[in-house]
Amino acid sequence: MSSSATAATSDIQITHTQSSYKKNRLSLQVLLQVIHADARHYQLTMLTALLTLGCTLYHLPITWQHILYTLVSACITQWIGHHFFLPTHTNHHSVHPPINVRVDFRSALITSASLCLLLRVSHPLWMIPAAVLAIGSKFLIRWKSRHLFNPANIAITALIILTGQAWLSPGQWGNTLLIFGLLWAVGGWIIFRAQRSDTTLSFLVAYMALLLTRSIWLGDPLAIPLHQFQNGALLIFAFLMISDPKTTPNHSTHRILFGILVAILTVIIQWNWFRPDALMLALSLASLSVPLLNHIYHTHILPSTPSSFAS
Amino acid sequence: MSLIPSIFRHKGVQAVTALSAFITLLPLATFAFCGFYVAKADTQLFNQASKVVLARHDNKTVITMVNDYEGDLNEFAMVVPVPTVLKREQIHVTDNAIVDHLDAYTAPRLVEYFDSNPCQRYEIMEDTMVMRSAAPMPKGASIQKRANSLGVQIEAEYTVGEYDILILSAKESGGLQTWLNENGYNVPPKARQVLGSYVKQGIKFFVAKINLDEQAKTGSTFLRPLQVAFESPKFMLPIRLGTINAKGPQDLFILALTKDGRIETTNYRTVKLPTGMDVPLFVKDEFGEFYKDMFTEQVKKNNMTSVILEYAWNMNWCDPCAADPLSKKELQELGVFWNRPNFETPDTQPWLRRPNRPMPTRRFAPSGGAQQVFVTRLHVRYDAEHFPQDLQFQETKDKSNFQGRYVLRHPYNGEETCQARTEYEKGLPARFEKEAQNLARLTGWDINTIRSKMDSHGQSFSVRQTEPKPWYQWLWGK
Repeated sequence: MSSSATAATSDIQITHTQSSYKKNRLSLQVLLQVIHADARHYQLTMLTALLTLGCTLYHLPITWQHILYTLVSACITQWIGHHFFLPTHTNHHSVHPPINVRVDFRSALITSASLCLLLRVSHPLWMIPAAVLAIGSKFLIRWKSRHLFNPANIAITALIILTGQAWLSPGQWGNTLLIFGLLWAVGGWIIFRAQRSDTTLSFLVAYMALLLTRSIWLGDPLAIPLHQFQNGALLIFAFLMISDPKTTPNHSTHRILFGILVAILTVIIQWNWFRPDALMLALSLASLSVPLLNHIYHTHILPSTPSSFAS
Repeated sequence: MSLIPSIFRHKGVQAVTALSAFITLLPLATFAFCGFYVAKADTQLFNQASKVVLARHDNKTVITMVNDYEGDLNEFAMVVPVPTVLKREQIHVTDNAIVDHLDAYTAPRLVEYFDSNPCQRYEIMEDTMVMRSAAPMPKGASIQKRANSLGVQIEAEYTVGEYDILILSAKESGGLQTWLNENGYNVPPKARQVLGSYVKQGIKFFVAKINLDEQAKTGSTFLRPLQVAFESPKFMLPIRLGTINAKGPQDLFILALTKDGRIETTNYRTVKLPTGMDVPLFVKDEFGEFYKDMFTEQVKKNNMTSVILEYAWNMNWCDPCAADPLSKKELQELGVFWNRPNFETPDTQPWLRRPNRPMPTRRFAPSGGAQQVFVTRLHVRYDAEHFPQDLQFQETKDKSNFQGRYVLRHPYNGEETCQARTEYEKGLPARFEKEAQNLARLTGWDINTIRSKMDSHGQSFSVRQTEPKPWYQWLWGK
């Protein structure tokens, strides 16, 4: 009698466990669906994880003031840009956006997170001009209905060069394999979803090839280029900044060329001027070539593409 | 000192600095510490440690290299890669004392607080200072000829102080290595690869030996630090040559003097030394061991892949001070060229310096606070495996102050008893336990040994019984 009662109780427990398991699974599925819906959701998840890691494990000097100032000013700029500066191509009859198009803060959030992750400033208030410059550049610096620069990239470059109150800390992510693997795997996933893996991969391959070539020429041990290549900041740049679909060329071959161009410019700046912000400067400079590459794409490649592919 | 006035003081500072920060975008305010310096841990605690002072601004660098060489002076020889050929005026010899002063000023420090009488919470106690003592080079045309045949060019040759110095450039590493070995520089065979890499990067070699006659004139048995000044966008320290024949990891102290903010490494992580912890009272007698073991523990925690920040401070002041801030003259001697002393500022705050006191908690620079110098002290333990690349640096705009500082809190030991005293005594064992755990975590020392040492130094883990005096005893002071 007592044994059957025990069995009945355990059955109930099992059923209860199964239902909670199902519930958990369901909520996980919902979460995955939300992340899966848009590549930007992946990117935001990844950036938030990195920010948390940076603030806790890596003790980066990111305070709540840095995050608050950046988020608020980026969102306000996005709102102003959306209502007053949105390009006419979205609405041919008016400079104002259609009433039913809601302001989308997702890219502003991504830019804010990138700025907090990468940019170091002498005072948190400097994050305000950085965020305004970044988001403002999306609305003001445009070429044929596309913004020219990656917002976080141009803001970082401008702040470092113009104010003298900002810098990058490329060494602060260390060279540990753990973060290397993590960034590689998760970042790769993002790029795959965003279908811009060609830029990242071509950049990384070209950069590694250049480091290796120089190292062989100098007779340095393999440990040196490997150490340079495992740099956390380099991988954050490669997976989260250079892969931006809005500011890379339209054609796959051009994106590969673009990645190689960024790698070449980076090493030129690094080896000649020894600047720790070489990656950012290289991307800003390389972005100037994108209108030309897109022009070639639209005038030479697109017209010759079969209509089924073009559509 | 009681804690109450210090809190008031902090709030005052905070209000003023927060306002100015908002208006002028100045760096974040940091607040003064309250406590007294009692001991410092200087660089001499570490074996196989070298010390370098870097003064840098606008691509202009002055490096001061300290030699702790103690062997036969005939056998002394050093090879330092430098980015450019140096003129005679770009090389200088300075005094060890100035570097020692900077070392002392930036050293991790131990400060002491004395708990106030728990029965008289608002009494301001008078500060009291507790301080504890803290091969002659062959010359001639034949040498040049031999050098040329090996592809080595002697770019310049000087005698500076007790040093005979050559600046070499080379076409390839083999010739350079042969030349160095033939001329008494014992370069290990494994160095060829590293020398080759430097040769291809266009780097020159600064090589020095002791001129025994000049050395005799100095009347000192110690070698004085050598200084070189040059202009180059490269802000780095070559450590690769030093790792080749090292018997194990080596310690390097980098004391950097910059204009705008602290420096950090760009190809390795720079992490801060844990600071501000309360530690048991017996650490006062073992501060050297404490610092050494704590540093080793931090190296271990970071898998020996990081550079450790031990001090970052505006050179105008210190609080608490392990030594006085350096004078403009001393800073100039160490290469601070942007802080010229020809516009000597008047001493506007003499009342703040209180010269008659042995070592105040806070001190200002002798020239009255007009020095645009920020000092950073980095400490790295390195070997070839964990630090394959030379150290590369950048000057940041971060002017926030940081120091390695550890706190001793003496419990109140007076006679007076009251209810507050009983509560205070009850809280002490928990506080001591926290101190013991802090120390164990910082140094990796055994917690039980720490506890028994604390017990024998008067920090008992059992509650002391204090009987309140009868009420009438207070009436007439009996």
